Amino acid sequence: MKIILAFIISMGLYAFTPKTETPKYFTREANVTLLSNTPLEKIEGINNQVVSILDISTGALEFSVLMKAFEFKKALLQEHFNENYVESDKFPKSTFKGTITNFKEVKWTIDGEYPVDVIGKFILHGVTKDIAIKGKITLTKGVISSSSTFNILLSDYNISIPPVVKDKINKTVKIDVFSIYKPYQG
Amino acid sequence: MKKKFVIIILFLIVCAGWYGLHEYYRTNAQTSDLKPDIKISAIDLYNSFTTDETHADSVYLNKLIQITGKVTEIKKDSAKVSLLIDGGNGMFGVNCLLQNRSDGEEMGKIKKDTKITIKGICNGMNMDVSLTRCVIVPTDKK
Repeated sequence: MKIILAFIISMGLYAFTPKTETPKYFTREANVTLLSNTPLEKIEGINNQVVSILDISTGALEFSVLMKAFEFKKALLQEHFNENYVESDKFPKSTFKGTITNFKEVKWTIDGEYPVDVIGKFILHGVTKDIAIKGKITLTKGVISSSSTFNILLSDYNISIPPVVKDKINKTVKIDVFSIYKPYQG
Repeated sequence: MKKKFVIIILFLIVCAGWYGLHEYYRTNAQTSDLKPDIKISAIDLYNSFTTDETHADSVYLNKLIQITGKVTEIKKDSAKVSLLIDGGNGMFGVNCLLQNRSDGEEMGKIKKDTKITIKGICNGMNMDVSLTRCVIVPTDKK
């Protein structure tokens, strides 16, 4: 009798144990938006092909951005962005490799919004910087998404603004990142 | 004589101004109006990037590439439509972001696992090969 009971209990426990799924999540269509706002000109560049990988067992978070895939409304801005500012022929990619430091506070199976702290190495225009940013992990019907907004100073990344357009381009650029992940089947 | 000179100078200033404004407000050309620089299968394009990325960059970067391949993924939202074309390597391939959201109407005709031809500007490789400003090439214009 005891054996049968133990068996039933263990079966019950087994049934209620969450299935061990792959801890890695992926997207090839995260969005990164750059925004420079001055009274004279609002410049917005959007990249809809950002690759991001998130490992919920370690909190590791990576982004990889092709600079040429940024699109601007004005073609001239797009050309100047590539040729004069980020020099995308020389530095085709910008990457971020970091960790969600408080990833254990996120309940990855329960819908909700979780504020997160992220630290890591950000490479832009060939310059590597350690950055710490705040973001948010959201779970909606079990789907994981992440978002963050932070500012960077162009001069930190050796991107100089010619004096002739210094009133049109802000020295600080706002970066918006948004990703919706799906399980990674690698 | 002096009057003529002033008129010519004024005319040149107007021309320069018009050109400047025109350049300033210029938008990206509609890909549908442009002839592709290179025609290739999606699998060959993907393979050339995985074999030698530097060489592939020198051949394809900033060029208008027309590819043919099998649709493996269709992603639509309120702002954009993108298609993933099979690169012959399971998960990865050629990621194509359409130039116009309105082309989404065409999408009704496009089904997963069918062959399509699409052209767009090559931005390099980011796990997938990236094409942006893409348009679907109608079957009769291949």
